[in-house]
Amino acid sequence: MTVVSKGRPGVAGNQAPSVAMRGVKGLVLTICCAVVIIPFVGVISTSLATQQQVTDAGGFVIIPDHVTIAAYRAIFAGGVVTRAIGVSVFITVVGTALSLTCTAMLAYALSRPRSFAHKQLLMVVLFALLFTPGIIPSYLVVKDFGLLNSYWSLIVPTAVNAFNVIVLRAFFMNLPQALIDSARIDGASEATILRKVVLPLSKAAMAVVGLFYAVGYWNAFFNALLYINDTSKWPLQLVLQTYVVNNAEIGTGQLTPGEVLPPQQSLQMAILVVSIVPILLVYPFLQRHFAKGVLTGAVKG
Amino acid sequence: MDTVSRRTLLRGALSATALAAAGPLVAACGTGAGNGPAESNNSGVLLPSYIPLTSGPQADLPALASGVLAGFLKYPANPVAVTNGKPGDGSTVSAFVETFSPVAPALSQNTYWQALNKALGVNLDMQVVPGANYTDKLNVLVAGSSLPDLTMISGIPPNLPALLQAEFQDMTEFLGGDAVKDYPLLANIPTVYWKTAVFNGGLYGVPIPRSVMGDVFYYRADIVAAKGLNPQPSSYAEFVSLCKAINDPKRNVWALADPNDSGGGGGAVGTLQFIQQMLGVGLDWVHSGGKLVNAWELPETTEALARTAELWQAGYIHPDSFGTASESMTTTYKQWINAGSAILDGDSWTAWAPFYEENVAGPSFRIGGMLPPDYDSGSKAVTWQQAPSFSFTAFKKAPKSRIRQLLKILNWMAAPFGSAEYLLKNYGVSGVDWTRQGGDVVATQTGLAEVGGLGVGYVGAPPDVVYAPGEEQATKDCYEFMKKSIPMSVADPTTGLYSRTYAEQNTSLAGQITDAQQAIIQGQQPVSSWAAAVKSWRSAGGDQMRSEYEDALAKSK
Repeated sequence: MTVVSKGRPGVAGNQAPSVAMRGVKGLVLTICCAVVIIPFVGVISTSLATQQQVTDAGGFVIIPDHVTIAAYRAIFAGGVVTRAIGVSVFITVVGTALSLTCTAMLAYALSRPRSFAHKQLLMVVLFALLFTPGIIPSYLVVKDFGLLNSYWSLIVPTAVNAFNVIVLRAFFMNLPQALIDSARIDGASEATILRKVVLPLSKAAMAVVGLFYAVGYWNAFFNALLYINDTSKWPLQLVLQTYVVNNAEIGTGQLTPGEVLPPQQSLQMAILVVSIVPILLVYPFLQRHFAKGVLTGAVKG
Repeated sequence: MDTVSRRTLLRGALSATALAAAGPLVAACGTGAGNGPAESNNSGVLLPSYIPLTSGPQADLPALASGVLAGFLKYPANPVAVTNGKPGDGSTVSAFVETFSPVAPALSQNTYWQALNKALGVNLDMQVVPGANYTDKLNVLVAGSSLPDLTMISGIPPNLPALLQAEFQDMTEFLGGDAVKDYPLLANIPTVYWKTAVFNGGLYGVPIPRSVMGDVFYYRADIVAAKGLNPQPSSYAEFVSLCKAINDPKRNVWALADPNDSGGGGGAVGTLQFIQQMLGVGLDWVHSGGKLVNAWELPETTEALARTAELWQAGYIHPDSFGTASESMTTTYKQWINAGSAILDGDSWTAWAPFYEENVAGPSFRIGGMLPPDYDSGSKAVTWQQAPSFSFTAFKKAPKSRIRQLLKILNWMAAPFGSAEYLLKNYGVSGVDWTRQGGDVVATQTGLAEVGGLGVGYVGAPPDVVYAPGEEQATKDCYEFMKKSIPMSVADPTTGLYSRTYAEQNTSLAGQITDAQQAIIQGQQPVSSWAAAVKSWRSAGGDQMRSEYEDALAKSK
C-alpha cells in the first residue's frame, strides 16, 4: 500500500496519514466494531447471568460476574429443544438438497432456448414470483395432499423458489454455449451435461442459492405452525418462539394457576444463542463461494 | 360437496377475513362481506344453575357472592378426589388451545401427560399454538374442516357468532338450568362466568373462569412504609404528594412505572387509567342516557390526560417507560418494581404472587394494592371489572352421546383447587413434577416443562382462587384488596357482546389512540389534540362499534 502511494506523490489523499489521523480512524473503526460486537457479547453474557444481576442491570448484562447456565438448562429440560434441533437439521439438510436439485434442473431447462414449453414454463415461474398463495389456499392444498402433520409439509410447499430459479437461470445462460455443444457432440445427454458440465462450473452460484434455501428452511416456523399439530414434530424456531414471543405478549393474568413464567431475559438470550449458532457455523464453509457468487450477476453482461 | 352449503359459504367468508388480515391489497374486498347471522336474542338464554360444591377442600378465606375469590393460605395437605372413577371411554379427545408457556415434551417423554390420560381414561390429543398465532391457526382449522373436538375460543375472533353457529354445538340442552346437575363440578362455576359463552341466543361452551376484579394499582409497600408515607391517598392531591415524596431520580428511583399501559382498552391500568378511575370514568364503554359513550370521549379523560402529562413533566414517571408499539412493557415495569427503581405500577391481580417469586429485595419485600381515591370532593372513584372468563371451550358439533362424554371430561377438569384432580391437572405427578416444601406444592424443573406447555388448563378449569405459595401475607393482602375493590367496581356494558368492527379493527384503532395519548403525555402534542384523535377514532370505526354494540345490547335485554 505505502509503496503505491509513494509512487504518486502528487495525490494528497494517498500520502501516509498522520498519527493523529490514524488515531481517529482507529477510534472510528473501534467504535464501529464495538457497535457490532457489544450486542453479541451482551446476548451471550445475559444468557449466562442470574436473575439478581439481570434485575440490577435493568435487563441487559455486558459482563456477568457470576456465570450460571440455568437458562440453558431450562431450555434443554425435557428434551423438547434437543428434538427440535434434530427436526430443524433434517428439514434444512433434506430440504436444501431437494431444493437445489429441483431448482438446478428447472433453471437449466429454462436457460436453454427451444426447450419444451420454454416460454410457458418461464411465465409460470414469473407468475409465481409475483403472486403467492394465501394462508388458507396453501393449507387446503397441503391438506388435500395428505401432508398435514408430516415433515414433508415443511419442505415440499417451499421446495422451489421462483427468485432462486431466475438467479440460477441467469447464471446458466452466461455459460459458454460452445461447452455445452461440444459435450452434446460427444454424445452427452442433457442430464449428463447438467451434471458434468454445467454444475461444476456453477459452484459459486449454487453455494449462494443453497445458502438462501438453507437459511430459509432453518428460519421457517409459520408453515409448521399451520401444518403440524404434533408438537414433537415442531422445528426449532417454532419451539423457541413459544419461549420468547408469548412472554412479551402477556401479563401474568393469563396464566393458569401453577404455571410459572421462565426467567425472562436470560432465557430469551439463551434462545437467541441456540437458534443462531448452528446456521452461523455453516457460513465459514460457504464464504469463499459467497463473495464470488454475489458478484456473478452484477458485472457480467 | 355438490351444492354450495351454508358451511362452504361461511368458510369463504372466514377465509376472506383471514386474507384481509394478510394484506392490505385484499383488505378492500373484505368489507363487502355480510355481517353473518344477526346477533339474536341473548337474554332468553337459560344459563346453567349455580350449585356450589359443599364437599371438597375448604378455603381459609371464603369466596363471596360479590365475586371475591376464595383464598388459601397453604396448599391443602391431603388432596382428596372429588370425582368417581375415570370420566373417559378410552376414545381420543382432541383439543385446540393457545398456550403462553414453552412447548411440553411429547407424550412418550411426558410423565404428566401419561398420568393425565390414565386418570381421564382417554387419549388426550392436545393441539397447541403460541398465543400470538392463535387466529391464524383457528382460521385454517375452520377453512380445512380440521377442527378438533374441543376448541378454545380466546378473545373475539372475526365472525365469531357465525362461526359458532356453523361449526359448534349449542350447549343449552346439555347445560342450561338444572341440566348442569349431571356435571356437579361445572355447576360449581358461578353464573357470571358462563355469560362469556353466550352468543346467537345460545350457550356455546364452558368458560375458563378468572375473576371479575380487573387490574390492581400496585405499590412497594415495604419502601413506602420505610419512608413513613401513607400508601392510601384520599385525593388526587395526596396522590401527587405521595409521588413527590418517593420520587428520587438521583438514586434511580421513580414514583410511577407505567404512563398509560396499552391504552387500548380492555382494562389494563397505568397512571392515566388510575386517574380516570379517580375521576369515576368507567371502563371502555359507559351508559349515558340510553346511549353508549366511550370513556375516551368523556371530558374526565381529557382531564386525566392533562394530569398524566403534568406528572411526566414533573419527572415522576420512569423515563424509559414508553415502549414501542409492538412491545409490551409489562415485564419491564415488573422488573423495575422488583428492583425498586419504580414504586407504583398497574398490573393484573394475578401478578400479586409472581412479584414475590421474583423478589430480589430480601424478606422485608411487600407488595400492596392502592385503591383509586376520589379525585376531589366532587367525584366518586371507581375500579374496573374485567371480562370474568379468560376464554371458553367450544364443542364441535357431534352426536349427543359424544357431547355428554366430552362434558364428563370437562367436569373432571373443573375439579376445584385443593382436590386430587386439580393437583394432577395443574401440577402433575408427585415426586416427578412437584414436591412438597413447607406445606406448599413446588413445581420441579420437569414439572415446569411438562405441565404449562400442554395447555390443559385452557380446556377446562374450576373457579380461580387467591393463593400465593409460601406467602400467606400476600394471599391475605390480595383477598382483602378484592373485598374493597369489587364493591366499588363498574363493568363494561359491552363485555361479552360481539362487534364486528371491534373484532376486525380494534388492534389498529386502539394503537392510534395509544400513540395519541403517548404524544400528549410526553408533551409532543398539546392536550387539545386529544379531541382530534378521538374524532378520527370515531370516524375510522368507533361510531360503527358504538352502533353495533348498542344493537347487540338492545337484543340482550
